[in-house]
Amino acid sequence: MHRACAQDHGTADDLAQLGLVLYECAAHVIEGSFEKTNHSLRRIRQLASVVDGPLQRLSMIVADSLARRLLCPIQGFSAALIDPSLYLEQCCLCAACDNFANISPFLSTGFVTINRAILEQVQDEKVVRIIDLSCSTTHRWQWLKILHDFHDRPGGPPELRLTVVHEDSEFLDNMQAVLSKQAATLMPSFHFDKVIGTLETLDFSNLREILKINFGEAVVISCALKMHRLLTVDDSVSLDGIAQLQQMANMAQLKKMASSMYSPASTLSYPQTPSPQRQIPNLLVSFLSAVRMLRPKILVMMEQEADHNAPLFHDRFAETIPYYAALFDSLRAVAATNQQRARVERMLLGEEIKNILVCEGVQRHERHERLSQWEMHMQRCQFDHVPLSYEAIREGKERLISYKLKECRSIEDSGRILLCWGATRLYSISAWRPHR
Amino acid sequence: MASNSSAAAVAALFGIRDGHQQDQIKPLLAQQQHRQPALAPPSAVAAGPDQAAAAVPPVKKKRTMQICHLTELIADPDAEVIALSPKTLMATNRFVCEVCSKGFQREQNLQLHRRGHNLPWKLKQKDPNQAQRRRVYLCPEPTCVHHEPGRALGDLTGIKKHFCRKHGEKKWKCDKCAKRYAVQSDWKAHSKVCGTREYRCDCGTLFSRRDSFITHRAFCDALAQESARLPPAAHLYGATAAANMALSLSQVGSSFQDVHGQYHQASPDLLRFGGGGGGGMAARLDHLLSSSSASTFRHLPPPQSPAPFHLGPTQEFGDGNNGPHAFLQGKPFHGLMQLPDLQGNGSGGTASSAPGLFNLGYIASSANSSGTSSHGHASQGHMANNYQISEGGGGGGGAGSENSGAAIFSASGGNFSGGDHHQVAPAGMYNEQAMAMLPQMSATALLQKAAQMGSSTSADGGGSSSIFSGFLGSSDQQGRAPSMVDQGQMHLQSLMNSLAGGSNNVGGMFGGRGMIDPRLYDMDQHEVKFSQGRGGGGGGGGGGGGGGGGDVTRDFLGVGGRGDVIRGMSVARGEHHSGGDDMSFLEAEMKSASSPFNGGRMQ
Repeated sequence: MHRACAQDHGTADDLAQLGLVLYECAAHVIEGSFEKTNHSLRRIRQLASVVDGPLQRLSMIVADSLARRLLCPIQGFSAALIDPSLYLEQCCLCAACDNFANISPFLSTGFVTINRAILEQVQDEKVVRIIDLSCSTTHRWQWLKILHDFHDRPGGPPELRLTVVHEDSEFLDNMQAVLSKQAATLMPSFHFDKVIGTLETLDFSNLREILKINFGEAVVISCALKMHRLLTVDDSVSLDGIAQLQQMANMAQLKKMASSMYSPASTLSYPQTPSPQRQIPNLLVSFLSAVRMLRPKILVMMEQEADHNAPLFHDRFAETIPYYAALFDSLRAVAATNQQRARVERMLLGEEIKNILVCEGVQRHERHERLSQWEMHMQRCQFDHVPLSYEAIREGKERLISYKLKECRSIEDSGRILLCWGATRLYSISAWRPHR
Repeated sequence: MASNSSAAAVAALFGIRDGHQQDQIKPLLAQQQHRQPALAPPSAVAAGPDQAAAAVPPVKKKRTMQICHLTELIADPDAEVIALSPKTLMATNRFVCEVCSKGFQREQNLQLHRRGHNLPWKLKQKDPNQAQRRRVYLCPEPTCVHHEPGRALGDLTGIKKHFCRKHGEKKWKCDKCAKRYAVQSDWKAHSKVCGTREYRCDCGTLFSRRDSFITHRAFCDALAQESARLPPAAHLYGATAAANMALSLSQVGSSFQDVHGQYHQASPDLLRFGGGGGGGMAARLDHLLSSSSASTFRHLPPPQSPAPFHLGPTQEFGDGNNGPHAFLQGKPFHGLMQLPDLQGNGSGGTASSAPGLFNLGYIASSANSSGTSSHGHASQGHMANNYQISEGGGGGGGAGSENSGAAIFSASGGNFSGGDHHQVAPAGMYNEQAMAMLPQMSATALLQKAAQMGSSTSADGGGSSSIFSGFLGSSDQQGRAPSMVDQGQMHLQSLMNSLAGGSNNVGGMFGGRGMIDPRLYDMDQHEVKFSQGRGGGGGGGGGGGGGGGGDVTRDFLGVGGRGDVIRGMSVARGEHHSGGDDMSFLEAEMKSASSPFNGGRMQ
């Protein structure tokens, strides 16, 4: 018994070691040393396998990514390795997304805020077209709620038309059935349009037709956690040279970062300006100019508030660990079954992490950026920031508080909301309108 | 009224914070109700987790009535109920001239303005035949109580102000105290009196109204107490740990008044560990503890309780009567003596390169030499402490019946520490919890710890001192507040929490566990009784005399076994007695209060 006890405390201490070893391992991977990486990976495995905790689960995923990352330069290996995400069945992925939306306090907060912002913009409109570009993040709960909200609108419900973009036609059928049934009792006219596809594969030259928008409709757009995919550019070639040059500097920097990474000051004052090499990707530009043609009343977006689009691996790595650690913590804190949580962590967040850490170039589509960077993109594409109303912020806040988690916080900053877990900022919600 | 509201606040607060605690709070409140039926309304207990918004219902409501002069519609079926949307309600210029688009607040004014444009205009005339129906207005906020027609408000300005105050943005900011108001007139009224009268809470918040100050104190204390109890993983670090400790200190300090003196010396150090969050508590504790002088305990009659415990080394110097006494006195020391070590240079023991926690374990389980060294450290750090120790040595001699904690320490450290924790928790449960708690550690916290380790690998003990403090704090709490056995579970959890944050070496602390025999448990029972009796005595003393420590001592055995956790309150009251005449009213009320929060809050 005595021994067991001592061992437990040993574990607790070791767990803290885990954070250090992860950074160390990343440094070895950047260095490209198989031997050292091997050693670190074994140590991670050993430390992470003792008991099941958020950091351990995160470490497993990160270790997997690091191992793959090490093999990346060897083209034969990287080509031979199968990306498990390609083998995931759509229904499993849908289930994971569904679970995520159900258990994450942040996502439902985002939905509530987006809904309220939309409602306010179309307060007096008779015909409303909502476009949901959230793809796999979309959840029928958001639109069920808006049906009710429209029903309660003082002037009576409008003629509501909803376009949802999603990869899975089965999912869309299901959603249509649910929403139509509910709408029949709540509003005189409801129309559901399905668009099969993803945000980044839409034909932006003909957006109005694809999204089935008719003239005379008041268009509002909601996009949750998918906009960053439009930032994808083929930057792998240009980066090779830089990466080589900076390799040595990186290692020193990373080691330094491992020691200072979590002091609150560094979390707050992390440089938010994007490096000059980063430009607005063509995809985003063409999307936004197409959206401008639609003359939407508002475009509300929710995005991951992290800089996972840094060109250099070590920057991304240093951003990824604390961000996902906080996210995993938040998932642990909410009431969810292990199965649900595991599904979300492995299929959704795990794949995101792998994508951020392993992939380069066009393969890397999880290019989360901070709100300050988004602001720059949007402004360059001539979109104006629309401050979220007090009501929208309040409703989101109340939603977040209703989870009764102490760590769940929200920061309002001139009409934008940042959703935080403890000191870590996780998501941002902001609204935009094309400049007139 | 005040204590009433605070009880409600506590109930609500606990309800909100953690559903599980409801069960444990209830008995507490039930007791209280039993004692002061007129003061604690049933709603206080009923305040469930869903009533988050109504955390301070009684006070708040009263205030609204006082300030706003809102005429609430009680029952007027004839009244015309008007529901305005937030937009119309907040609109400053609802009536706009179509020619020059100038806006007006009233239609009558617009009509008069239209006259200037040579437009047709008409002033509304009151219909003299039909008596005007009374108009009442609903608050547009659906969650508001005034959203119901039955509780509509009687005038438009009133509802406007209500909506602004309760559901609107607070745009008006006082430059002097950074308070914000939604209604300009409120702000103006405040600006006039701001700074003229103020009440300052230990947490740094300023109040201009005494009742809001008292309410806040209720909250502030309950919050500290609450966060000490909650077992979130982040608990390990920083502020919460400090609060945790502070709580244990307050309990310990209050239940063992005889060691207050020592405590007082050590507590500031103790609290400094935890960082900013504990600052306020530290100050308050200072107050709390400073009033009981070191001399108090020297006059204490030895408690008449048998001591059937067989801790090997302790028995050598603790005879039948003095045993428990010595034990109790020794224990705080057990915690405190080590802290200066940890905090100082982390080398109180012999292993100077090891982190502080190691020292702790080492001292706790090893023999004279390390004990002496810790003694030495304590005296270095705190002159007053040193003084007391020597005093104690003189009085108690080798028997260690007084406060020569160091002696007890060195002789029986290992056993003691083991016993400390063992009393409340059976070993099996302990272990289970340890297993269960470990994965509960948050990834963020672990990363944080990793960062600490990374940055201070060379500084021994520096990185993890906050962990110890948490550990020590909660173990103190565990061992020394046995009267709160019903909450033992919770304490245990927080203990485990802090344990989980510790390192291997904490294991050393538990090394002695195997040596504990069931008889220890018996001793624990006695200890419970003992401290209860004393607690009641303390409470009675403070309440009756409202004076200093002398009173407390005199009444010591007079009143028995009543309050379980109140002890500190008498001290607090005594100290604040001179604060003002109206205070005595509060004190009188508090005399019968038993909740541990009440007294602290009322100060």
